[in-house]
Amino acid sequence: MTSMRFVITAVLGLVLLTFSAAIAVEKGDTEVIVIKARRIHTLNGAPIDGGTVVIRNGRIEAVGRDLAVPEGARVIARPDGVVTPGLIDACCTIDPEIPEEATGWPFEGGQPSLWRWLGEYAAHDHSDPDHVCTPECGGRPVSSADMPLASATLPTFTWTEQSSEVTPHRLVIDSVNLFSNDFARLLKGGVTTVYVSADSSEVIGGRGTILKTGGPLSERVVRRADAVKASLGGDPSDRGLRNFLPPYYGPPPSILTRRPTTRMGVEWVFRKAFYDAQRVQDGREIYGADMPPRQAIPVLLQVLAGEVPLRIQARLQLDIFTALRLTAEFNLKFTLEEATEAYRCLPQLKQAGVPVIFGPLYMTPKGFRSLTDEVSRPRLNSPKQLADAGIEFALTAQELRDEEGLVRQAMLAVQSGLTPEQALRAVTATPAALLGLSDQAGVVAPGAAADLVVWSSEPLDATSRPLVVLINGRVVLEEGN
Amino acid sequence: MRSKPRFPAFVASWLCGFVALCAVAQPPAVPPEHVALTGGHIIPVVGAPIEKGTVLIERGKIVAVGPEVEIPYDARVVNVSGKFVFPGMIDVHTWRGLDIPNEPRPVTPHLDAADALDPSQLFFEDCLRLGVTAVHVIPGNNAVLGGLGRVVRPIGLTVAEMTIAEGEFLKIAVTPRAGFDRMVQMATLRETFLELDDYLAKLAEKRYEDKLKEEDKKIDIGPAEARKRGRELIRAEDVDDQHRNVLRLCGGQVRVAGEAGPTLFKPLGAFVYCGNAMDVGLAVQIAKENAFFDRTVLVLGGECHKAVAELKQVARPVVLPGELVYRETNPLTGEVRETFVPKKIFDAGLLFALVPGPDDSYAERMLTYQAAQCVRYGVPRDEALKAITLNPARILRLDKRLGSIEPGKDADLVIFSGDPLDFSSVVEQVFIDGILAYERAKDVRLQRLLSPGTSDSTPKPE
Repeated sequence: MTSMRFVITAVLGLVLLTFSAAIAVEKGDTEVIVIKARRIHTLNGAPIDGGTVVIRNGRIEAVGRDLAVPEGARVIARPDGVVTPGLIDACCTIDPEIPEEATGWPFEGGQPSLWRWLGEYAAHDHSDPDHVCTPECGGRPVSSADMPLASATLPTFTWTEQSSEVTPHRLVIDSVNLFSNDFARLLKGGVTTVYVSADSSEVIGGRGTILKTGGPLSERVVRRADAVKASLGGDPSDRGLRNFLPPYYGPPPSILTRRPTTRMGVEWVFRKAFYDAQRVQDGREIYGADMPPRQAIPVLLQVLAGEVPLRIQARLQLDIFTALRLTAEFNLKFTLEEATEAYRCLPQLKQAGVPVIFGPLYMTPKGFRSLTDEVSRPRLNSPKQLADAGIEFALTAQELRDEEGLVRQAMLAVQSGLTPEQALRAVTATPAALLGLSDQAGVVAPGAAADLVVWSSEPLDATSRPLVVLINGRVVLEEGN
Repeated sequence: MRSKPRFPAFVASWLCGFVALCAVAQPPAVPPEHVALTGGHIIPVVGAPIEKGTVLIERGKIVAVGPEVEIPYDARVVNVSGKFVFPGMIDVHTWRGLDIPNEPRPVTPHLDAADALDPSQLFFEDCLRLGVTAVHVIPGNNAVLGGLGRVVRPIGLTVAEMTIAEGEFLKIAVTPRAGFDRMVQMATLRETFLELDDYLAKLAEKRYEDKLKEEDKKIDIGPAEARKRGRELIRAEDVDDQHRNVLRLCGGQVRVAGEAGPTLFKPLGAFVYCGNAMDVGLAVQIAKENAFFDRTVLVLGGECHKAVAELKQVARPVVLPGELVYRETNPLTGEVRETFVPKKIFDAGLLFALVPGPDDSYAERMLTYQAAQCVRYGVPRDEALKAITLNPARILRLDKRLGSIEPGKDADLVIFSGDPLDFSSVVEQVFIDGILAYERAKDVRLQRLLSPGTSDSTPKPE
């Protein structure tokens, strides 16, 4: 028995040893990489022509012209290449659950036929106010007065979290699939760091997370829980209006699961959450259908104390003004997300010193944005106007990828007036600063993490593509010479 | 004596007003006989770029291109120094401009896209804005035998004004239309051609009978002999609308029971839509069987890159899909494989044309961006530029008039602020037939998208 135990321990020990050795080799802690390229955009001073970057232990050791190549270093020479810091999307969505109106039916097995829905509508006794709604009639109370036949046949369900409108205790990291193909697509676009933001369905939603898009799993999470996301305007109230769960998925809405259905309601929920948090702090009772859940209170208090950052998504001018008004009421600092109509609030944003994570730019809204009426007055040159007004801003592609991804967003911004330097800064150094990662990401400077992209030509050219991508000094993408 | 001697004052004033109006509403401005674009960086597509050159236009046609061109005294000189002069681009395959892409019926060869073209559609305005000066509007892919296309300019008040050339291509889809499978699709397609044979045979018989009637004779031979004798009697006006275009597709020559008759019409070509790799073989087969293979253009879907060997063998011109990257997910591993389609097609040495990408993609709507993507993934720059200008002109058999800046061609020119493949360059002016058709400075809708906000006039938050 003892010998058996010994054998098992020994085998286990051996296995562990092998693993740790493998990890040490994979981590390549001692590997030194040298990148030589035509130009290096350091974002930390002027670009360096014919420069060299020396990387050791996952960090940038030196940047400059005519640097000596350390012995045993792996040299990546791309004579036509242009080096930039890895791009940072400060408001990314991973694997977005696009509402079914935009893409089709979310269930497996295809969309039920129109006739089924018609049948279910007919099965409901509309004249009887006490009629109990069953799954057979669609699982939702359809009243003939407020639901015309046409919309009854095409149900609009929500997959929104139904427990509360105030859920800052939820963590986005818990729902991010680190194995998602989305990360590979981001990498192909030269994006190395993303802030994954909560969606806009709740008034005060979950806390976002900062992730690397590649590299070993153990190093992917930069910060588990970051800013709390609040949403103003149509998104939370629209979802409140469509407060139906699909058949078999839950009870119909009631006074216990109330949702704001107007901007006034959204504003009320936002304000009540913070006042309730203060009441709890003062040892007083809180009540009401839309009081924040118990777990939310400590996070809200941290937001009030300035320990947890706050982000507010607002698209329209009036919603941006609401954000400024509400945060002034509680003396909160915040970062504005999306901000489609920021160009109409420039002096106010400048005066309040609010940084903006702007985007995406589009000609025709699609996906989420095709479902809202808040996108009727976009401006192609919003980034240019933000820059001219002296407002700190980053660009984001949110859920868009590939030809509409982050580097293409910067390219579009250049087309409507931004200089390439400004645009590059808006996808590297500025988002890094907004995420509290200055000097660690978004620059090519000694001491910063070696997140680098070697592009085939100037990064914002339409003809350019990433050739090599490094994250923490590891080559995560490399195209053959 | 007039019954109303007094000439009413208000009538006089109306008359004066009318005369004044007539003076203001001038007849359409006659374009100047000569236009010279001077000092621009000319990319003629055929031949080397000219650093600082002049394009001389006479009555809508290019007459001279070069660094040293003598400018006639009466020419209207447009200085385009520092700008790039590029041929007007060609959208070689689109249903846009029509109200709906397809008729619900599967076989509609008698339809003509020209009948549903709406010159006031914003689509055409967008074409100008993006530097497209010729659009081949053709019924959509959700059909068996669609209808006739038409090549138009994106400017004009009527279809006749817009028309560059009558339709020379019918739309055929090998990929099944929505709700049907390939067997039905192919059977319907074959049946269309078999039915034409049947129709012509009966027509020949009828023509022979008619001839006998005219001569007051009674028929004294069997149907086979009557068809044989009637074959030569078929005239162009005897063929009905439904069959005319199918007959033209097959070459325009009457064939009855395998015997050739008179050639009645100019032949038509076909844009054959192949959404999947497996459709390429079917398309080639049906085209060869019905004698329109030499006039076939293959409209490819993304997956067709897998049939590149077959495509290379048949060597027909191809129209590439709007989405240039084909993505395929391995169902077992979830791994996504990406293929850049134009590079594979280019490597196969095929004549190919690019079309604009999806409408809701800001950049991909532009043909120049599609070409820039090709350059990004390794297609030589010159070939990428040809794929949006000269190649589509060749495919449409309009390369004598369109597709490059050469003497003798239509003066369809785009003035870019910089290199066309540089995304920050914008279309500043568009000349169509030597007439200024678009000017960015006067583009109201674009100005709106680029206008500043109105924050000063709005209340400030407390």
